[in-house]
Amino acid sequence: MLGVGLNIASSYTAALAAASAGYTNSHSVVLDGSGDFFDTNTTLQSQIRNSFTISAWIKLDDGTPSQTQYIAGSSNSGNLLGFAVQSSGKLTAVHQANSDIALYTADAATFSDGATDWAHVALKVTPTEAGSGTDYAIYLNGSEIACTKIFSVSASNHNQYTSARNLGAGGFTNGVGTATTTIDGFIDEFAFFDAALEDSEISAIGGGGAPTDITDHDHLHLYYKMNNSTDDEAGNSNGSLRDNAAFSTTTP
Amino acid sequence: MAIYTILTEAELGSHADKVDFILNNFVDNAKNPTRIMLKFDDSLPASLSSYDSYTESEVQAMQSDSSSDWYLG
Repeated sequence: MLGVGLNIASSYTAALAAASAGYTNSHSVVLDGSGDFFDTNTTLQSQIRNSFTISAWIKLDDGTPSQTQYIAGSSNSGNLLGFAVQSSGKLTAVHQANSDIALYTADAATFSDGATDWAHVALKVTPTEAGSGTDYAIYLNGSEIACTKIFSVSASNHNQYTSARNLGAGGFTNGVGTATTTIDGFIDEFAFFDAALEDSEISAIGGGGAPTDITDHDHLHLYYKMNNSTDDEAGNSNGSLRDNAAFSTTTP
Repeated sequence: MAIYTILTEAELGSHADKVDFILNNFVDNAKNPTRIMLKFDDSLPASLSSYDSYTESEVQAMQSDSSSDWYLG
């Protein structure tokens, strides 16, 4: 089975390379760090109860921000999901399901002080068998980075994640159409997959230095190219620009 | 003025405000043993007053010291 999976991933990588040649990425979304975010207009509750992967390109005004800035997130009582850059410059995931909580943080600073270059970031979340807790993996520019997990979310509680709040891109939703601790910078090509992608798939998406068109990728549930449009290329939930979020011609 | 404290995973895990601290005060973690650095405005909350506190400059010194567990590189 492993060999078959690798072959599928390799085939996809080759197809992606071919498809990327014709992709023109015209816009990203610029966020000012004080409430601006991209609303996916969907809670993704059922998807977050299973395996999933979040993928985005970001460019931060400061790689070591004065407070945590969320690449993606939503919060509801006793349940939350956050993928963030800490003030230390470390990528971090926080996941709470039915009050179980886990914190997964890079062992070394991911970003340096000052404005960053465009970077691809990804978070993969995989529920495991009872006893070992949910697994996480964080990727930078297509490669997994070393992280440490603190606390854990049990398999039974992972499957009881409950949220009535939309997942935010570039912010941590804390109400209807509002978010806190948002990115100060740019976000582009935000995607949510309803599966744990293979390492080779994440490398193909984020390891090439620039985005590719991933419209036909397996398990693609949300895909916002953000090319002057809030449309979801996967057709599941068109997004919305919130607060002063706006399209920008600054792109990776 | 920011003030910091450091707890082990077990210490934070037994704390009633664990989730609030993770969401609102988490700054960094270190390994072997696993410890969590929290940041507060002005002073530590009463429930953490028994822990050592660190100033901004002390934390910055730890983060720039390559021999420190809190070195950021």
